[in-house]
Amino acid sequence: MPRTLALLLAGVVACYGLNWFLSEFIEVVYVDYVNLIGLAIILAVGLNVVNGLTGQFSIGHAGFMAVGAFVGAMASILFTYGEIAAGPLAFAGLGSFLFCLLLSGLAAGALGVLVGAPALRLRGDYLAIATLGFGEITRILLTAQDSLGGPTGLKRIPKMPLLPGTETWDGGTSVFWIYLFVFLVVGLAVRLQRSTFGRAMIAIRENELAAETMGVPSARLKVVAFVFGAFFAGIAGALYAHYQHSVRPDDFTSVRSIEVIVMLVLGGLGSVTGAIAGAVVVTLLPQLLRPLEEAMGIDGLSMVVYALLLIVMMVFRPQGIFGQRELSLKLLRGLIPGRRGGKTP
Amino acid sequence: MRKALSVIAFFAMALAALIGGCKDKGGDNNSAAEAGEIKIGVFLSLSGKNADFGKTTKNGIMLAVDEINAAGGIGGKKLVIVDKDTRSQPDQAQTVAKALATSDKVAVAIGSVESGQSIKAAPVFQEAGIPMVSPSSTNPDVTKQGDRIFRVCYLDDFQGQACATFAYKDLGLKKAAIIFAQDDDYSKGLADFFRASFKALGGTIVEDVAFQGEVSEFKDQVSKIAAANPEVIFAPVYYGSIGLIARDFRKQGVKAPLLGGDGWESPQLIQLAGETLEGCYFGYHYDPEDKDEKVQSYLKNYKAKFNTEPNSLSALGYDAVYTVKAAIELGGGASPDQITQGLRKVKDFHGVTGTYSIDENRNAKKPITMLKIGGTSLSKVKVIQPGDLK
Amino acid sequence: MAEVSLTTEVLQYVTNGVAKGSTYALMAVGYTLVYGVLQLINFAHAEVYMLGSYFAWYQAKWAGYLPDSKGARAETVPLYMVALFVAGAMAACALAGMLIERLAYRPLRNAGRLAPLITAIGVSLLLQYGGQVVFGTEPKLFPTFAETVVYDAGGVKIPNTNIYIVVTSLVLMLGLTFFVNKTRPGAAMRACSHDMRTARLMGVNVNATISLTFAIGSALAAVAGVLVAMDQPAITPLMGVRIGLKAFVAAVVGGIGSIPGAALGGLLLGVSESVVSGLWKPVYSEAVAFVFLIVVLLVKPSGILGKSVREKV
Repeated sequence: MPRTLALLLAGVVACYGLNWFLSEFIEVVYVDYVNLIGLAIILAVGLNVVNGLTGQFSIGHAGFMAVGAFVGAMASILFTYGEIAAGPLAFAGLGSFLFCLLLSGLAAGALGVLVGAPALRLRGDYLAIATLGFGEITRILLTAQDSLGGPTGLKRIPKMPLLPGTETWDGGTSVFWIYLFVFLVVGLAVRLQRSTFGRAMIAIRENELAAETMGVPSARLKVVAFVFGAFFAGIAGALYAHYQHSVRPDDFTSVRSIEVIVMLVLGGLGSVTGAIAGAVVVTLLPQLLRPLEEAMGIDGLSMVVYALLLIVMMVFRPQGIFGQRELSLKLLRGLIPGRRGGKTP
Repeated sequence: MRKALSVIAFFAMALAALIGGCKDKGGDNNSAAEAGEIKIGVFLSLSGKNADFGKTTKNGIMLAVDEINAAGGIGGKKLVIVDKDTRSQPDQAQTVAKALATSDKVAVAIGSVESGQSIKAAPVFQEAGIPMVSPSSTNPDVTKQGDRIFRVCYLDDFQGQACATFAYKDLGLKKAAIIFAQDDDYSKGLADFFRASFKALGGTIVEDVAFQGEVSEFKDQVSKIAAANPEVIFAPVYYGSIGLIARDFRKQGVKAPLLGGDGWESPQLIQLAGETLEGCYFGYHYDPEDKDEKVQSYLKNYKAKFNTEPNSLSALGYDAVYTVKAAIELGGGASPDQITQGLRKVKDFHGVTGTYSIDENRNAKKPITMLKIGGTSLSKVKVIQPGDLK
Repeated sequence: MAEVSLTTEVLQYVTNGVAKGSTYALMAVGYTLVYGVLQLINFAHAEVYMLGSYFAWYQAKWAGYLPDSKGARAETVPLYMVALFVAGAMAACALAGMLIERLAYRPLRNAGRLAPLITAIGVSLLLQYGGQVVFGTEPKLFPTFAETVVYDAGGVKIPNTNIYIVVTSLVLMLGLTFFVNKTRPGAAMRACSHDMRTARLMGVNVNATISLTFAIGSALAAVAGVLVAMDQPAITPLMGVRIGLKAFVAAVVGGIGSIPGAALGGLLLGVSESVVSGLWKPVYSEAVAFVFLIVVLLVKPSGILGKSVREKV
């Protein structure tokens, strides 16, 4: 336990350091990219437990994110202002912010049980379509709720709590909060992967029947995987809401769910480092292609090139950037020419 | 070997991005202004599902900027446009707003058409101290996001009220049906305000039909309304849909006139609807047949420059630029603060979309012109001033 | 207008739904055929449908059947020209479908099931955004392929376009069923969908059969694209997104891999959407499609007419 605590502390310090460095030296646009990448990592690493580790094909991740975003945003608005009204943005209090995040994680997690349990009957692509359906239903129902702002959604969501010693330009403290949860989700995912649970989940992915025969409680573990992914998607949603200061139901279309799948497969399904790499590439690429489009003067060109690159990357590296492997020192050593080995199993 | 190269390439890319991303500590907002330029940031949907809105707005903006620059700029300073594509995604509007506010250091921002995007971008400009002028986001919430957020169009509430009053008092129709897009801010906003004021006037809403999603097929909604037998149908949708809706109504034998807002306007409106919209009405920003010199020269120049007819969004983009010009002159300079001050003082501004003032809530107070659709032309029926209602 | 009775109203929604469902069915067949052979969700299918409309539109444009910008009405396209345009669009789409398979899916034939799924998403995005760059973003008016006539069957309004949609879809589905069940290439398709490796051992040209599958599915999507554009004559580069999702849902509901299943799924979805829209709330009709889907899957996990796959130990 002391080791975990020390690790946690180190994580907090590292996030604070990253926050300080970025807000001190890096332009806001790039800090924005870093934040968006962080949110994508939380989503991708969470979903990797469901899709990559347990082998359950879910494309309804945006639905969990939506629920988390709306629950967290609503709670935060009520805590900070006491009502939905116009006015300047305020900072959320530390306690209420953390409480709202927890609340949104729990709400999304509860929904994960609700979706995960009946969906156990389904396999492969049928499960995928059912989860897609769930995501769309969530969005459609949210749009029809006038109490949650209808199509325009919730506005004036407070800023994330201010940290001592940081600058206050909007977004100045978001890096810390977002990467704190990146650190948490990555840490937990790695722990999980190496634990008995994780091994059992992999067994379900490889051969469910054989796993059951060996005494793996596949039904329960599948739900656990769903809840893990949903919980962090909910938190990512709430972070996103506080980061953007407004959320709309159509921020969470099936396009976003599919984007997360693309991250996973592109990075290498089943690998935490792969999920991170995928999140970086899928978030950054469309932004980095903007100058090309602006230089050529053809609107929409960047997305055309992005789509092409996506196809080319997949055709030339079908197993994804990392395959099922993790990035480690050993793997890096193997990359240095002239040396042999370093292939982790 | 290939692997090693790709790893090196990756890190090189990351490093380049990092160096490129370093903060330029020396710069401040006025460096561009001193160089004899006024930077105007523009964020619009130039690709994605609403690309058409963004492109036509951008045309209007470019026309105005070219005219101003050809006439020597503002106080000798040329206008420079920095335009960013929001890809029709509200969250991208926030990302590009950050680029405009901090990297490009624009003096003022113009955008976006969709209220959702304007609401996402508004906090960024508000926090950065840069005024933002939305050409055509009509949702009441937009300008409530901060005291530097302005707009040059009328609001959903006024337009909805005006349409209701026009239908009830001027056309004398007491039974209305509504068809609108639930997940579109504009459509839902207009429908909500129309419903409320039509009922307040004493009319009845016989059928109230919302649809959702990228619908291109309205048979069921239309059948539902046809069964209720209304005297007038309020359809606050965009021009791409109204032609299809009108066609479906006529197919089902409904002859009641349709009524809509400025979203209907497009050079393609009559083409897309065929004869099905004949005798229908919509509220608009100006009368295309208006002999007003400003309107006519705008129409002529637009046609000459882009070789197409303008739509309402082009006109609002055009007026947004001229409103900013007026604000720079009123505020006495082109710094973000001076432009903000100037925008608050805009009074009786004579633009293509009518004569308007910016009110204390940073919205444009302007008249609405009700147009009737004939065979191939539009004719003015009535002009409703903001003071005429209530 | 007289008061409309509830029965008439319900019948009206059912006829609306049948027409809508027929187009879903035509599209769903494309998903089902490809899925049957490759176990691949061909996301790009929706964009092939969009291409179908545009190919027909361009032919009509070159032949001079588009109205001018002033809104003057162009003449109705004569029937033999319509046939020509539809055939042209089918051929072009078949080619496009085969090309997509050759370039984006075939290199990944042995790379598991997820990699081609991602290239499918890539192709779909490419055609959507590429379509916006090439065709333009504004909606285009589709030429008049048939003058609108509305029949009144005891209060139920049936436009002739609806009849064309239903009849064409029915004929094509029957033709396809015949083709798959009674001809040699059809047998090859069935063999590939059953077991590709054994089919290859038995002398079936697997690559040619897969190309053929894509060609057929894409040609049907082209017809669907033209039919829908006749009914709702405004086409945009993103017109495939929604119907694509619906058609895929229909294919799954019916039992993916099964042609009658796709037809049934399409019709069920179309009718249930229309009836929900009409009798309850149109806002929820989209959600209903998905609730329906989930309920069907929970009751019968392999779709209504799908074969349930027994797990081998």
